[in-house]
Amino acid sequence: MQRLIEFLLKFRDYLVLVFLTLISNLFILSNQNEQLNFLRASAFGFFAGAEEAFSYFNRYFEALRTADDLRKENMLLSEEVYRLRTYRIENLQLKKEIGLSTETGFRSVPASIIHTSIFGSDNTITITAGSEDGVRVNNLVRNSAGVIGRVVLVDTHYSLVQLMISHQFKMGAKIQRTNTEGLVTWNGLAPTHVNLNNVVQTANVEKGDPVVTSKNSTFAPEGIPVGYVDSVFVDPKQLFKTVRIRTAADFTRINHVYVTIPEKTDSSLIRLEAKRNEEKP
Amino acid sequence: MNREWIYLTLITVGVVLVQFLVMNRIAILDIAPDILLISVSAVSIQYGRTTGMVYGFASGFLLDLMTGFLGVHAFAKTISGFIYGMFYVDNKPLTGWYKQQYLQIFAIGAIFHFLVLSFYNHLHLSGSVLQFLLKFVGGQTLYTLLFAWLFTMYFWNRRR
Repeated sequence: MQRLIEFLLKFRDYLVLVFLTLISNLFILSNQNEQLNFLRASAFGFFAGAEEAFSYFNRYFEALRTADDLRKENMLLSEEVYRLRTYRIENLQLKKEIGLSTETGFRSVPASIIHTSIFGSDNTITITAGSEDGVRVNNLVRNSAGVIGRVVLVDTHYSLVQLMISHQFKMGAKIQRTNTEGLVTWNGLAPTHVNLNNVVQTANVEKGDPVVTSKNSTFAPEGIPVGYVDSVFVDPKQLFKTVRIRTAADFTRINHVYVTIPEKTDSSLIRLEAKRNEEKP
Repeated sequence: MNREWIYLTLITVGVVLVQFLVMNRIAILDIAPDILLISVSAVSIQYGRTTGMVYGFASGFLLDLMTGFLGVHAFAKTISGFIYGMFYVDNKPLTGWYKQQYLQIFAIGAIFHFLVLSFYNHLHLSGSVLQFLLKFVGGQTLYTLLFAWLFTMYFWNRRR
């Protein structure tokens, strides 16, 4: 017994190192565990509250820049809304003629960003929308430009969003012009670009092609902008080519986002809106 | 002794909060300093390897709780505590080291710390390992070293 105690004392440092290493790696491996998720969500909610109070200072300094950005965006959106109203009426009429559903199946919840962490490879933002607003894990998060990320942790009033420029983020997407499918991943370097992997060698891809979410994505509705093709890497030895995409959203300048929540929308409401638009001069 | 540990706990909570709330906002080229690592180095050199590792694990776990991903910082800071603790000498306080010596020791531990973080982070990435290491290990070590230098300027001058 004495010898055992002596042995433990002699190698105390190494035993503590092994013990703490095992515990921390157990935590790393169990991040998706149900029980740990409860602990993570509780702690995250508590610290997000502190962060929100702190973020008021930042918001004040950001306000002028945001107002300027919004003014410009408002001008562009006004023009787009006018065009889209015309298309919408035309689209609804055509869908009615061929008997397609007019339901979108998604609603958007607006949220502010109170914490941004884009300085590693596990990039996240904390937003002011939580389970009380209907947000659930895996909901897509976007802004007016395009895809931002997906919800990975939800508290009552806050959610943690894994950004598209995060090493664990994977999402089905397609090149809009040709409907060529691929998988969006991030290579860990520039926060302005992501890769579209698994694109077949024979696919027709050109610089500037818009890339949008595909129906094969498990959490994103189809057709949300991801970015634009910047360059294409072709390795003849490989089955697939890699497409480099410039992201539609600027991750260094996001202030507000929308959480896209799946739901069954009332098609009668859409019909009512269409009727109202038709009645407008 | 008890009062010293109460102070240390309060300072640690303060440092973790500053790390979480402020450091990301002063990032340069997507690289943010890790000032919590400075406190891990100070505690390990002052109190030894076991205390340093436990301190590194606890403070790293607190930071993990804030960021929402458990275990990564706790693991990296446990390793750092072990490395910094190797420089512990009986009855030689932190300020017993020359500033330059401390900064050299700090840089060694910081490289290992960011290597561990990068290893975990790069597991799922497809980009160039060299570029990734230069940016996240080299860049973060240098930026954090700047804060360690500011720490020595304040702490050493205050103690003497």
